[in-house]
Amino acid sequence: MSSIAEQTRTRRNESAVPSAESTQAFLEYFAEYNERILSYIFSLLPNEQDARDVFQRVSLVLWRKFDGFDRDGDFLAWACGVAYYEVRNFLRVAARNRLRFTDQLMETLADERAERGHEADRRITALRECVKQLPESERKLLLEAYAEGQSIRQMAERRGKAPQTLYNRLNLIRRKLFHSIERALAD
Amino acid sequence: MLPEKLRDELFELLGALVDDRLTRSQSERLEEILLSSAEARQFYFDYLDMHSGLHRWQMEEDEVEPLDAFRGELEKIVDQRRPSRLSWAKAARYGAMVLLVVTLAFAARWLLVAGGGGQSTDNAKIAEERVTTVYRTQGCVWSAEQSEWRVGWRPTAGPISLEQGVAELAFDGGARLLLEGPTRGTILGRNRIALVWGRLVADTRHASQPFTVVTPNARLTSRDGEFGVELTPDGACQLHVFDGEVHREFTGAAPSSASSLSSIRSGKAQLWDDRVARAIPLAAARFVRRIAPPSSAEIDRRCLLARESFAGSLLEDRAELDTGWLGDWSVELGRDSLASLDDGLYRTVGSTSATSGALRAEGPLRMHRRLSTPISFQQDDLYYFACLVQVGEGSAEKEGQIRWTLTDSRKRNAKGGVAIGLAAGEQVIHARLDGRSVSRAFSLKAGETHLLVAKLVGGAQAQDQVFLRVFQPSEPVLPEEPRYWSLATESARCDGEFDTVSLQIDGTSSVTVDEFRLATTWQGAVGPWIQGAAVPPEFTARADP
Repeated sequence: MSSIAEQTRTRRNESAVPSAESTQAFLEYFAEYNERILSYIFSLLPNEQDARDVFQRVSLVLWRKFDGFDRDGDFLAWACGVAYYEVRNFLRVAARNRLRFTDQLMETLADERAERGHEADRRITALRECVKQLPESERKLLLEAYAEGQSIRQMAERRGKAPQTLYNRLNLIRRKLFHSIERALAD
Repeated sequence: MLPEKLRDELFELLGALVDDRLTRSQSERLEEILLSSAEARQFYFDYLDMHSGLHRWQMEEDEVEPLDAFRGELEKIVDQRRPSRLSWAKAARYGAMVLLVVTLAFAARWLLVAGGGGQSTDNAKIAEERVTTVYRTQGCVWSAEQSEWRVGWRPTAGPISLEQGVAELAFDGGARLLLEGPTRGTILGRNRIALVWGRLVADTRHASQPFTVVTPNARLTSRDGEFGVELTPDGACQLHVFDGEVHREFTGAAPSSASSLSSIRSGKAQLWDDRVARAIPLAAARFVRRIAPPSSAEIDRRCLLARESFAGSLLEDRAELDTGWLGDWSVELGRDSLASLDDGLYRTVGSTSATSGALRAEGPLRMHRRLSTPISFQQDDLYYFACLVQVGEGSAEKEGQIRWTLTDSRKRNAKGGVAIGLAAGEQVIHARLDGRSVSRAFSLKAGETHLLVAKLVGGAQAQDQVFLRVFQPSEPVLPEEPRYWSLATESARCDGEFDTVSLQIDGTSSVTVDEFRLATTWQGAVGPWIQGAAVPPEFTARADP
């Protein structure tokens, strides 16, 4: 159970409502950096649902703490700092039984990711173009695999195939996409 | 450039990672590679960017209007009661619309606060004046002006008058204060209180700032201590320091034999009035220093709507039926596969000894029972559901669903209502509200007891939602509701009233269930499994549930 002070700080943070002006300023920063913050979190928490949960939490924390942010400072660095803390907290509390990286690797990934956050945007733009160039059957498989609530096992049952077959196929498609993106960025 | 062989290996490992199939040895190998090479780490980042990009691409393919999704999610963020998923909207394009939503949310909050009775209706004023939280109470009777105070209330700076009982306040500066009625004072700020008369204990050991108790002729400040103050109406003040140090500064002329500024350390006590100050024996027993969680019996009495311990065979007339039901279970299918076990299921972490009895099904099962008090989504209410589940050895790979549902016996729609459960073979947990299901992968350990907990949020005007959390066998359950839930359904206007609990087991799994609990609080539902510190036997009051 967290200390009373931690609960109090959490309650204070969660109950304090930033002013409209502060919120507008926050949204301007957030609009520019939210995808990079999400990419940062995802680098540390590769499970999509976990990353979403933590991103939601981080977004709220950043909003509430925005008045304490020095606007001459680096918003992304500040946000990543908050996100790192929330990821560590999440791993400590909610993901006890998952395989997880050691603290040493987590810190290394966190540091390097924060420095390279801007590169994610280019890759995502290239990804959209590369997906369009995939054959229809491969695009359809990707769509089902990344759709909400669709497990590989369910997909395999529908197709009358073993789940491992679909995992292998998905991996091949991702590898193909990865190469396409690399070529697109190199051009 | 990474060697081709290493790239191939990374593709395999990262594919397993994002598909949640990574084994322990693969995880160790992946870590070894990533630690050894900055290039490998860059590869890792690039791969995950692609994977996360595919999720966002999927949103566009689904033609979900990003603005609507983001608007809905932000509304949920502002409404603090509903944890939510934030969609990956293009915030850059919708920043102005989001600002409008937030402004509307402020207005909604303003209206809600105004309807709360006595609370400030100005958001800026709320942020400035609310400096503490009523954290726990025991037998509290507040003055008429504060009759609405309850656990969770956020008082403004101002008078405080406790007629009776004990109240614990958590100040925003981090200090914790226990007031023992009758006590009267004034909350001065996030780290200050003036005591007019009465008794209190201040604990500043976890505070981020010093805390000050102001008496008629002195200021008592502690940064890292615990102390009790008793002030009688005739002005006699006692200070007892249990831990740390308290600085006393007389605000007027110091009494004789006392300096205007002094420190009183742990184990010491002082008594003074306008004329004289002297040391007295420490009397910790005069003060209440803790409010313990309510007893489980009290929780059950106040918060438990229904309970099934599965003690006694369902196939025979049971002499004693647990609380909250109309009649016993009706077994529609699978009577022959049922077995009543003498020993209940238990968790290895933070559990009291197992209650007697559990129910095992070796094949398909369908059974129902009527609640004596239906639960309703037609009003603003919270319900918590908990039960123990164990999938038999050798059954984890078999296909099979275990599903608890809440339905309205007057309606024929089987897909309405609430359903939560798990699919053993697929290793998936799922929840359904009003016909819409969500699921996610979950690692179920055969032969071990999992705790399934659901939170059901009903709203009179707002939408309803269901959250699900599955605790692994060795995962502790904390006294407070978790911040993260494994799964959440989409919000929906369900407005149902559910009077029937059903348990359905499909497939070939061997399943054991035990200790079903339906309650109105987190502690009511998961009380038997909460892992908490031992309650100090002395200086302790027991909180209201």
